[in-house]
Amino acid sequence: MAIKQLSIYAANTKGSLAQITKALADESIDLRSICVADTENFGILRLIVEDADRALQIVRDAGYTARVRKVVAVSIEDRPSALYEVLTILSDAEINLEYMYSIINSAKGHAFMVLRVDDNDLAESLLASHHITVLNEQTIFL
Amino acid sequence: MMDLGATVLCATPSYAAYVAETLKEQGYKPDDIPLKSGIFGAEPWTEEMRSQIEETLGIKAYDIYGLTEISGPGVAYGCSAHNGMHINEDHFLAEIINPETGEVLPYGEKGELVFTCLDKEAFPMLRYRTRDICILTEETCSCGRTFLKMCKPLGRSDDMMIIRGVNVFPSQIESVLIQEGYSSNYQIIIDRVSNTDTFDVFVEMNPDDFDDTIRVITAKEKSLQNAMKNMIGISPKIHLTPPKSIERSEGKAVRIVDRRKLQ
Repeated sequence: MAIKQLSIYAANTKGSLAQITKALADESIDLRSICVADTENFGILRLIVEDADRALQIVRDAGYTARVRKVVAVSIEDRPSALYEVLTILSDAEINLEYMYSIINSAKGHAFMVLRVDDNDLAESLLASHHITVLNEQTIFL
Repeated sequence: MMDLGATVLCATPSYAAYVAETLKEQGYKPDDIPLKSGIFGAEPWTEEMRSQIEETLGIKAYDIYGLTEISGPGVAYGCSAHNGMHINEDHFLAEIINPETGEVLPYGEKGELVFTCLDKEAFPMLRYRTRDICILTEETCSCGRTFLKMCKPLGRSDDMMIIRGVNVFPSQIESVLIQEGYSSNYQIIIDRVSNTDTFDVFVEMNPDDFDDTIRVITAKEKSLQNAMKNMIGISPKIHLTPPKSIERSEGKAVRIVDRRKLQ
């Protein structure tokens, strides 16, 4: 089952990212993964945290534009080619991958990846049928 | 122009500057082209710009003034004295009025230019308010012509902007924004970079429109840009900004910021 991702609009101004991370830090939100997609004018901060809904409220109260969306997360073997194999499964099935990034995890020998696709259910059942471990809210934070 | 042996160029001054730039990029010198003179108008331009165009294109550059509603370009034109333009009084009657009261002002005073067509058929204008502010003078020009002279327009008595030679009203921008579902919290910033007008519209995005992909946000900007182009004829660069990011003001909101130095 897909996990929640928090995305926040970051203005292209000095200290913008610092201020957002401060708003979260002040409320003791622990970041498990963070990446920024940047354009000339603005950035989108994407975060995986333990309580996405709470984090959403915190940033909205601080005046930020944000939303929570479910994304697919998988556990793949920590070896060369493992990621390529997963991406090939998706592209062969013509599933469009918008973006991806990795998540901190303590499981040795495995890497956790977030995959943003349009149809989470379709992607998850496809990956599972290829014996790829799909993560959910319970397993992601182990 | 080279192939056809053109000797006169008629364009907006900013387009002429663009031609000059391209000429240089392609490795040509002003002497390489057959142009001798140019007639430029449809947007405000300074003496500095005239000198620059004359130097970079190797031509004599003249001013021309007109309005689509009156006859198009050619209501008035500049001469070799380059200090004002002669109004074609055999076709157009010019008056200056106080834009607030409508009172006709004497020559020499600054006011709004009003034209009446004397021999136009089918669609003559009678005392048509141009909204251009200028001064009319009667003295004989050093070029010898005795037609009434108008100075280069000093500004407008309304909020119309001329961007890349196109007339744009802030109300048009606003109506597109509202039609496309955006708030009326916007700002237009106009500037001039390398002799071309830049036109940027900043508008607050609706919180519900925020997406986690750049692609969706960029598509929204593009869609708004197309709607603007359909309404006003030119494409502004759209910047969707976060809610509450456009300055609110106590009184009249500052919607237009024109950074071009044109006078």
